[in-house]
Amino acid sequence: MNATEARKQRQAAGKQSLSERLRSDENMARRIDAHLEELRLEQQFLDAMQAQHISGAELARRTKSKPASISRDLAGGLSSAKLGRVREMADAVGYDVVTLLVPRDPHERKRTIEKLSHELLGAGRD
Amino acid sequence: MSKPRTSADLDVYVGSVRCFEWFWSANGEMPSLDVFEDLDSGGKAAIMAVFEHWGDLELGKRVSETRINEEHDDPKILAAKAGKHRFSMFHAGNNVWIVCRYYEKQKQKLDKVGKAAIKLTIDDKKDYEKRLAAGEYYERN
Repeated sequence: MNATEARKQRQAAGKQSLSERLRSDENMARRIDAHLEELRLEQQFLDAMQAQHISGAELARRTKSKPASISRDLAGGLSSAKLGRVREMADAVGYDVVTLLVPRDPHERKRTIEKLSHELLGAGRD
Repeated sequence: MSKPRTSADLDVYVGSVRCFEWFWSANGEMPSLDVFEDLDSGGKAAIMAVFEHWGDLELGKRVSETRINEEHDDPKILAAKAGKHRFSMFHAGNNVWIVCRYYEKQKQKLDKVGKAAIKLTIDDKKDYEKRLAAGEYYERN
């Protein structure tokens, strides 16, 4: 039996992963999500840089920063960066930063996101 | 002291792209799970977020070396990183990664403890492949 077959058997038997067990605690789920938010923001920068073949050194040149500063930003530093800094870096790779404040109530959240999506699409630059 | 484990403890995270399992030794222990359980809640959340992020990241997309780093070339041993915490892992095929050992790393270069952890991970890989081929790795409770 290989790893995939064994996992299917465990899933069929209703066995949960450690991630699922940890996430059953609301506080832990929030903590993990907070880290994931940081990782996703870093990833968006990495994706944009990869797509445009922009190195860390080039991003540093474009933002008039030291390469070490960019390295720090892309290794957890963005979580404590000012919004202006995030905007400056996004601008350097040809992106806009969109900040959203969304309600936690699921229904209100969906409605707000739909409204904001509509506004954003309407506000697209040509 | 290491706890005896069962197959119910194996899965770390089942992502849409990659899955992570703890290494399960022949004597029924999962050394890195023992360490994970002893981390504080901040450390647990930080390292789990790395597994979840990479587990769902499309193949071919570059991941930050500050989160997933190659610690050994051949065989390929990677480490999931969060702060000073490192969990080494090897590829078991089909985008399944086996998480083997824990070490702390403060500096750029691997120290003695880190090197020993990577060596143990390479040994774990050989042990995993041998027991898998013999039909003895997953065929237990």
